[in-house]
Amino acid sequence: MLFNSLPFFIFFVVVFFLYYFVFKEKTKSQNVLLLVANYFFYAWVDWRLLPLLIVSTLIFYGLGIAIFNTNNEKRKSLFCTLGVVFGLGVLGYFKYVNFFITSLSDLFESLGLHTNWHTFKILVPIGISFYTFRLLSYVLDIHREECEPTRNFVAFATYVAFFPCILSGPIDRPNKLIPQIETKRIFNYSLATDGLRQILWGLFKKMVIADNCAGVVDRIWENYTDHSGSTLALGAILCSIQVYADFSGYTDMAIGIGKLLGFRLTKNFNYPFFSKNIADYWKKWHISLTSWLTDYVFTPLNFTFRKLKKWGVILAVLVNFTLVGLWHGANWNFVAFGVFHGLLYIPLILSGVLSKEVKIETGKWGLPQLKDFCQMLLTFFLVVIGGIIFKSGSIAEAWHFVARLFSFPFFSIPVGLPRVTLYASVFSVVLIIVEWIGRHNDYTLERIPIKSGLLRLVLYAIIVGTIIVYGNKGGAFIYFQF
Amino acid sequence: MHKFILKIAQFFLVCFCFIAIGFFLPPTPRAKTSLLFGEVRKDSLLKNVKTPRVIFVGDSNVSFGLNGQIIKDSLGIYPINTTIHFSIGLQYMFKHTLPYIKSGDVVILPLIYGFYLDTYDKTSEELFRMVMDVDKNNLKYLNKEQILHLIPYIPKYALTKFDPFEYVGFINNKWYEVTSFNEFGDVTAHWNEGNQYVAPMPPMSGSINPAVINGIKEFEQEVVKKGGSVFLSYPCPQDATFRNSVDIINAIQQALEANFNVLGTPQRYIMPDSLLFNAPYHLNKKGADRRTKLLIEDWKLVKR
Repeated sequence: MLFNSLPFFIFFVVVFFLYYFVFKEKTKSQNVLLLVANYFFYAWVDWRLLPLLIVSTLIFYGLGIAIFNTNNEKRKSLFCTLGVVFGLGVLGYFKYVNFFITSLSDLFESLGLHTNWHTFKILVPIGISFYTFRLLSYVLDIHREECEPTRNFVAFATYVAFFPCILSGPIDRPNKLIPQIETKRIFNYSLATDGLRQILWGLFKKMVIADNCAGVVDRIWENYTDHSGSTLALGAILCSIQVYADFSGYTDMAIGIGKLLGFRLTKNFNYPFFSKNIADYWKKWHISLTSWLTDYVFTPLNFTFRKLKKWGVILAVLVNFTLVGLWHGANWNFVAFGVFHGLLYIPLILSGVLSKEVKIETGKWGLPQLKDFCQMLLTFFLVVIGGIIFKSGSIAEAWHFVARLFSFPFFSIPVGLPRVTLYASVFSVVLIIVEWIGRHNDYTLERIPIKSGLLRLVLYAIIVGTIIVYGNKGGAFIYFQF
Repeated sequence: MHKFILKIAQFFLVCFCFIAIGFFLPPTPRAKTSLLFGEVRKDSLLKNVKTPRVIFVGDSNVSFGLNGQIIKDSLGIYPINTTIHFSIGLQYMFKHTLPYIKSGDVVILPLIYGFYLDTYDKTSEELFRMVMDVDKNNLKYLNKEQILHLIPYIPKYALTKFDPFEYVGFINNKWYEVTSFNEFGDVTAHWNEGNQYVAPMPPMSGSINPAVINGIKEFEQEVVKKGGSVFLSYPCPQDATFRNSVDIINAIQQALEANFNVLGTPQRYIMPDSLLFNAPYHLNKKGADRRTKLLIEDWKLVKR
């Protein structure tokens, strides 16, 4: 059930009506409704995935209380470790076991040792990476005494399976979302209209930009050996914009839906294309994941390696980014994607740039200063190269793609590309311009400098019209697979 | 909450106004160059060309896969290739063609396999534009269900009228334009172009729709009543595309041979990649020549 589909629209209208009209101001009833809606939404994808979600929720609910109730530090750590082992074990089994089997098998084969290992037919639960991280942060935060467990199972289960975020995040922390679930919620007009605006912008990014880019990018990738460097460059740039528009579009819709239900979810993007270096980029891209990994992986590792000084930081960053890559999927190209980004940190760490605050200076026309612009361009270039690794089916394919990118003939007019190439290119430029103008907002359309209510409605109608005319009924969101 | 609902109602009202204005605006310059407008010239051929003539009804596997000149030269019959687009649907194609049928006409239907698995009275954006842009009189060829199913296309159709790309700087592929057709109705604009990479179509799924078989039978009866005759033939799929769906194609062959006069076999019309242009059923000049010659051979066999 995609956010941009009719079944979801009907589902949400029913939930919204029951939530505000039938269970009005009855928090307990609203939460039960939300939980039922969450499970219905999740089961719609595949009902066979639901038991694992429920069992995991029950286990972590119990572990949370157990960690909190015991005064014995060893037992606290034991319960916490149990939770981490269970969470990572489930994630590892469903997502990575086949990857490790085939990788080890390939390794042995390359050493001349024949193996007869078989992969398992495993149904990968959609959104498992997202809800597992929520569950892990719950037990870890309780163990660190950063939050208290909730005794309200419905609230906890709603937190884990909250339908706007279960498939692709944001990965909200328990101390941010659970208190909101437990608090009385009444309809908030300004929050709801803000939510609708954010949904509209998310739809625009997904359907007009991401899905049109997808048509071009897939076409270029499927026979990249036949294209010139300039066409591959276009494909690579549009690929990075596609992934951003797709994922941030989903996030905007998720946060917007949350606002309609009275929740404020974690911001996940902060205009990452306007970054002056790769560290700045990762502070603005998939914020809920990077902050999660920073808190639970990077910081402890950095502390462990503190005696190595700058090299300790580098080691922690490399481990962290290898995990970022692996989190995305069980494939070596994702590992390479993570390692590539990790390596880009090294010059920043060695030069001490990492600890400096990044600020973009603008001139009198609101445009960035030349130096800042060049830095942003360089960062974008590196992100695009990373995007090639991300998109390619293998490291070899990524390597060949990059090699062709810089091979002659470099420039030729693209041949055989669909008409949407024009739309994808034009709207990508529009996206960059509009995001630059609105970069100080929480999301781009948050504050529109039009006072007339009617004109604002006309603007929204134009955006809807643009979605209808140029919107492409693309497939699922890219990050659903993770 | 009331204020919220009122605001949403106002928003929908604004959207409705845009749609209403767009709906009544004339077709855009880009729409007027679309291949759908090829119907006007094809209708003129149907109306004015004297018998004996052979009429091809179907989809773009025929418009991109026939050389009418060869038919005219070798059989001495004027071919009229009425085919434009798969999405227009068989029901519309038949109803639209029937009024032009004359005694002695030979109608050949080399339909793409997908037709037999699809709905007979299909609806699509192309069909909607055939009615709204090309000729509003075409509405009479649609049944009530089709008209109802076309309603969801109204917003996009109407709002397209405000699309700047529809008025300036629009670039059509020259082989998908009203001017792409020759005097027989074949698409020839691509004949000097190089081949493009053609990915095979995935395996077809589903089963033969009896409504399609009945629809073809009814069409055949109407043509026969007017003194004409109907033959079915096979499309010209890419080799790999054919292999992907060989079981379904065999079932279609059996159904056609049991019910209609059929020219050739599916295997005869399989095309290697070198004879394709830009899609698994779109042929280049060499491919169109080969397909036409095969069709003539099959036709001669039947006439014997």
